[in-house]
Amino acid sequence: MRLKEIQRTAHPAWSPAPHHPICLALGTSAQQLDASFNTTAALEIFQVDFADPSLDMKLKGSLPTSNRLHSLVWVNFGAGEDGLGGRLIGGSDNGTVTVYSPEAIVTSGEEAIIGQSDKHTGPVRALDFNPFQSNLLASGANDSEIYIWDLNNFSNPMTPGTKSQPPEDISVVSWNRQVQHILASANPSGKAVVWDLRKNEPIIKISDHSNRMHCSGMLWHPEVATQLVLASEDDRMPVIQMWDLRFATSPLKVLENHTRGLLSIAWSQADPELLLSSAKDNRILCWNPNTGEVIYELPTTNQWCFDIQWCPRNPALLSAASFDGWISVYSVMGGSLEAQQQSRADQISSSFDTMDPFGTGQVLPPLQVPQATPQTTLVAPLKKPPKWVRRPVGASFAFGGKLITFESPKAPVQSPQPVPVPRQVFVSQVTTETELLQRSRELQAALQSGSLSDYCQAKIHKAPTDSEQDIWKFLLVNFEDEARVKFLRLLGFSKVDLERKISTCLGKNLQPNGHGVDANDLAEKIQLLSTQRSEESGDAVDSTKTPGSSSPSDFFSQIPPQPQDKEKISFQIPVSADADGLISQALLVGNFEGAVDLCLSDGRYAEAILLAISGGQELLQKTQQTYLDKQRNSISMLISSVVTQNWGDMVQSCDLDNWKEALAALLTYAHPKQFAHLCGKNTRMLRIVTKESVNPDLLLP
Amino acid sequence: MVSVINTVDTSHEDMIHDAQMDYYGTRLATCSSDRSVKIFDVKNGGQILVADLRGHEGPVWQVAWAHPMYGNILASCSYDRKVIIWKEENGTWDKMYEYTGHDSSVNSVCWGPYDFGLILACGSSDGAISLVTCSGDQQWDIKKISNAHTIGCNAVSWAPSVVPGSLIDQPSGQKPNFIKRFVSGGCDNLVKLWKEEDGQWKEDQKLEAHSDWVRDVGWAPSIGLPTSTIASCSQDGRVFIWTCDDPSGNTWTAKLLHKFNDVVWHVSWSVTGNILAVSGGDNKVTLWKESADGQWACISDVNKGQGAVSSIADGATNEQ
Repeated sequence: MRLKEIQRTAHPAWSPAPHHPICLALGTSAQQLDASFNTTAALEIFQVDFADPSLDMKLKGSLPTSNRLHSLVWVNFGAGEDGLGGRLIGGSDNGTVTVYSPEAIVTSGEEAIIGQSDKHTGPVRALDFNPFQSNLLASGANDSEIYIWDLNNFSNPMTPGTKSQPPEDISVVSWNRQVQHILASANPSGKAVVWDLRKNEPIIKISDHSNRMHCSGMLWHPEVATQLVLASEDDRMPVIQMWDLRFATSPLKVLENHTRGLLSIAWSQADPELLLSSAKDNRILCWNPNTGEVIYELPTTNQWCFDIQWCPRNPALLSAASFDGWISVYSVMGGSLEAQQQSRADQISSSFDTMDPFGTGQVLPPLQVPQATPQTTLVAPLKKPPKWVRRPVGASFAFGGKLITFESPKAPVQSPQPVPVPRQVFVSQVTTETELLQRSRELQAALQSGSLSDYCQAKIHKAPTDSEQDIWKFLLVNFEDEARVKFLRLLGFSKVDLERKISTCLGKNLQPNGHGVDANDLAEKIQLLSTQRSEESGDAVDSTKTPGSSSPSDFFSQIPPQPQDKEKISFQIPVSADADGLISQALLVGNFEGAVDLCLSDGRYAEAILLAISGGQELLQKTQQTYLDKQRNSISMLISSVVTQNWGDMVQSCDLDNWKEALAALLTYAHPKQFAHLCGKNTRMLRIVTKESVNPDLLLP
Repeated sequence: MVSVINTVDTSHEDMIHDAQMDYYGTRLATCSSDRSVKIFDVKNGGQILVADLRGHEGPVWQVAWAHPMYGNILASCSYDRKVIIWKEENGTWDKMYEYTGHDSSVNSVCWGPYDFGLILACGSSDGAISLVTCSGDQQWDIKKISNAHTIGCNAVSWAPSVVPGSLIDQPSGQKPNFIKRFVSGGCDNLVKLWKEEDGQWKEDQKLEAHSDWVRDVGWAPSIGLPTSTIASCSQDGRVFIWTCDDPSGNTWTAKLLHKFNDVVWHVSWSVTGNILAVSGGDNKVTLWKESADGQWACISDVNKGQGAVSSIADGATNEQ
């Protein structure tokens, strides 16, 4: 597919591969004259811009030269990373080899000619630069002259060896693409000489003795060091011969398809299976040298193309210079010609009278040469995709952190039989947070096996901070028996310790409670306690609301009504060593007895009784007893009797003068069964006391 | 850390060009120069060949799975200028649709996010990008962007349908306005962003940074953060990360991830969009992650699938 074209009779040279953007240098060619018989010469640099869909190239710089060129190369010598650099070397008609600086041409600044030499005696037709050492350049001219130039030291070239006899024109020189000190030269008689520059002499001479071939092109294989191709310009033998220097007596392969002599060949460095050739039968063919078949034919005009070159940077492009004065840039990737046909048609129709009914946007054949084959709009690409399109390696992510990778395994090149290469795709797991994964794995294992206490134990050991350690200790306890006791112990509330503390506080030697704490029991007690507490606070709330006449109520009613969540006001739980602290600690542990004792010893009878209610009936009675023992006022005896329901004692111990009251009490409270017995007791006592003043009427049955 | 858990021997007869897992990670599709597309079942580390799809007449470059809510659908594109969409019905895979609207090799296919329906973008060497939409039972609409990239389009990738920033500021109840966008890279060294406006596709942005063919582009999946990120890799060995911070999506800044010594073929984002896999010449696959201060560091070098774990920690970057 033709991408760009320009009208010049010139030799093209592509900018070297590292150079960006891609440029094409054109040096006016010798031995050709265009229709205007113009004899001026110039070296021009064009930029090949693909963002622009038109066929034109932008001119970046131009330099008039004194001579016309036979050959032109662009070397990547002395170039920076970006920007124009390198050197343009032109071999001219009169034997001058000139070195230009493309940068200077573009900027039209300082002197563009860097070096010049007249060493050659005839037109310099062959130029090639060394792919390994960019400062070395080979040139070939008449009289079997081959010079090796060093761009650093341009005035003194070397020769690769003694001149081959008989002296002939050198049509092509070419450096080997694999071995840097091998150079080959070919002359029109069909002889090719391979020089070794280390030994400075020719090492092998190839010539096809059976036929005379006029060698117009010679190229080394880009990958195999010992193979090269020779193109023949002779119409009787329009072939490309492939030679392997290991058997240098006859060609390895002969590619025949052209009907007339070849003018130029170009081997793609990016894909060694693409070899272009242009011939006098107006065709440009693309071959696969390995199989020897034509894989592509470029659609071109009916003109001979004397120079074709692959673009080093963009491997799909090639330049073709033809004798009708056009230089075109083609792409082998195929594409549509529509846009370009339109512009071509526009150009043609615009140069004609618009009244011409044939010039209205139709595709017209160019008027100079009648076109035999109509141009198809669709340009077929190469049958097999070139190497630079085939992706060898890739990786893609998938769900779950998986990575799929594939690569192209390196197949051994020299194996005689094709070895079946395993084409594999690798599925990998990508983990970035490895520690996290490790921890989660451990946890999962622990959960599955159920050995959670071990897991917690392990965690305790590994815990970096104390607080974390505590957390893990708590978790550990959760999985053990008697969890709650241990929890308490962890919290710092040990029952045993506490009892000791209480006993020291009370000065008594208490027996430690033998039985363990029953969780349910404890829960009930706490519940009771909390309900009582809320009742108590509820009472307080109620009392605030009653518009009472009694003074406590008055006082309370003067307080503005408290918010309902009065009981939710946070309170502190004192855990100090004083009585308060000990009481609360005892309560936290569930040691009601201890708490009650502490309260009693502290004189807090109300609290003692409250707690004793929750502590069980026994505790309550004991507390009551203790309290009542402590209290010694007039009605305490009566109160104690009422509470403890112990009338026998009362009867016995109360004062005899109060026998009426005792009897009254008996009447009110005594159990019917006990009543009689207690009454009897009463009267007997009375009789003992008042033998004489007893009123027999009072004797009750 | 990367460890190989499975090696699938695909028995392809020529170079493999793409391998993609489906949405759930149970099926693997591979395509090769031997013109076939193979589907394997890779659950639990096994490999069972489910289908060997033939239909292409040239090397198949890429495969793409559609979202499972549409069924089991796979698209493949090839050098023979065709895009074939395959569908699994009752356990057998068949050609659902064949698109031949391109003049040259179709290099890349990518399904759009499922909210947009069943829409496939195809990039071709003739420079055009086609959008193939399924508009109902066996009906397919084609929209073509001609001359998207002058000498060929190498890769296409869709933007996620998540509105940038939706994780942080919740749009109150209104239906988010989805704009279809995708990114493409071509042989003209450009990365271009495309937006659909009023049913027409327009070039939204042109990002220039590469000096050679852009081989692959990838739009990072989004989790709702207000930034959009695109990765592009090129023949010149450079990988650029483009980020856009403003919600209108107009200013993109490039950051060079790394300059490799060889051509970089492929970039792929992880499902959450924070790890980038870069595949380059000489069979090198490297994984890159962005650290908290915005620097990209290589966290692993997947060494030719041998499972070697050579973690290249950049300085003292601690992943925790």
